[in-house]
Amino acid sequence: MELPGTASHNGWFHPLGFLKGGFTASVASFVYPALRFMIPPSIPEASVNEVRAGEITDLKVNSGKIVKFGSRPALLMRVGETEFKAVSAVCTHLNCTVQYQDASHQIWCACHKALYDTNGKVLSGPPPGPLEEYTVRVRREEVVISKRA
Amino acid sequence: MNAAGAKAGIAGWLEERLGLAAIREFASHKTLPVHSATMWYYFGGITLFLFTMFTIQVLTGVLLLLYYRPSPAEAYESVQFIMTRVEYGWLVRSVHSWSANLVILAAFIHMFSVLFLDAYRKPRELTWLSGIALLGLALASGFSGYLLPWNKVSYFATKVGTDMAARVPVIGETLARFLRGGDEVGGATLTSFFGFHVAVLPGITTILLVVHLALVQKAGMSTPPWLAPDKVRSIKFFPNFFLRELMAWYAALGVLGSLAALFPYGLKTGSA
Ligand code: FES
Repeated sequence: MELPGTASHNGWFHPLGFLKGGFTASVASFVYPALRFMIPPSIPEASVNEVRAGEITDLKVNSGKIVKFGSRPALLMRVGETEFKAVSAVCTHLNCTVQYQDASHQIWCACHKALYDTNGKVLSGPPPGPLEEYTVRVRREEVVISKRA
Repeated sequence: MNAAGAKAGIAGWLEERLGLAAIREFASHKTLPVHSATMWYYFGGITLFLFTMFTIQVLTGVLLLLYYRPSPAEAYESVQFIMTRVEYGWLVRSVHSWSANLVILAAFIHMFSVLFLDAYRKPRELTWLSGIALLGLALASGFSGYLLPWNKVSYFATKVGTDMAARVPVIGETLARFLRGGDEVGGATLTSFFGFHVAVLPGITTILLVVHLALVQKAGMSTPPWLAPDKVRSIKFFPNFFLRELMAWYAALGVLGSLAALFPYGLKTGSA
């Protein structure tokens, strides 16, 4: 039998081993959260539900402009004196940014010649699905785009 | 080569290039007086630690910078994003806020211990003054950092703070305008506070910290004047005091971690 205090000096139960273990564990507890913090979360941005897209008068009738909607572009179109429409400007084919064509009153993707109507429905070309439609409201003189619930 | 041989090899390699023996030699001569008030020395170290916690501030600050955006439109949302979406974001921000507060606390304790032990007197006046300047920098960092989440509380706190600056005789108005980056607290204020908080203040603090420590080193540890010098025992700074100090540091780190984990900082009220 070993006397207390003479037990093997390299075991976990030796006070120094215990201290070292505790120290290592505490250091790990500092480093681990920091490392996890550095990995960007899979939701890359705080998501946005509504943006102000400027004054009515900024946009001529029968024209469109690209506005920032959170991290992605949206296409705002003034299709009539008081009528606005907005869709996601990210082509559902390969993510090019689409544009409004005033001659045909349609949405055009130049990358692979796709056509959508102003509601985002595919008319021709490779896109597999429609552009997401947004709701446009006019508050006083200001145009507000929001996601549909 | 066996492990011991490898260790000796590396030690030799470093020795040739860094001259560590000279540093060790120097360190071995550093001593610390032991007397009834010795415990107060630790707070100098804790302030250093909290300013090594300055290092913690830098580290957690750099982490926060990965996601923080210094513009009025995005600041609040980005902090919210850190708090809710980024893993351990609440913890990193919480550590940053808690240690900011603890730095100030420890700095004041350190300051009063220096004051009451009469350690600020000749030949240590410059050490004292550089310490006061460091305290000012710490407070300025706190003040500028408080605005960055850009919520209502921080907005109005900055408004009140800069209004106070405006009351300073003669230069008040100019000072307030400078602080706000304009006539009112606004986007320009946020951007300039951000610049001060992450670049200007930490930069100056680093330099001053080195000066402060060099001055402490130059003058040696002070012994309270009411103790007869020949009666005072002293211990070696390395490793005797250093290891004890290390324990104090680690305890402080434990306190900080526990506070941050158990009482995390929230994010109150909406965006400013
Ligand atoms: S990306 Fe738009 S059509 Fe291919």
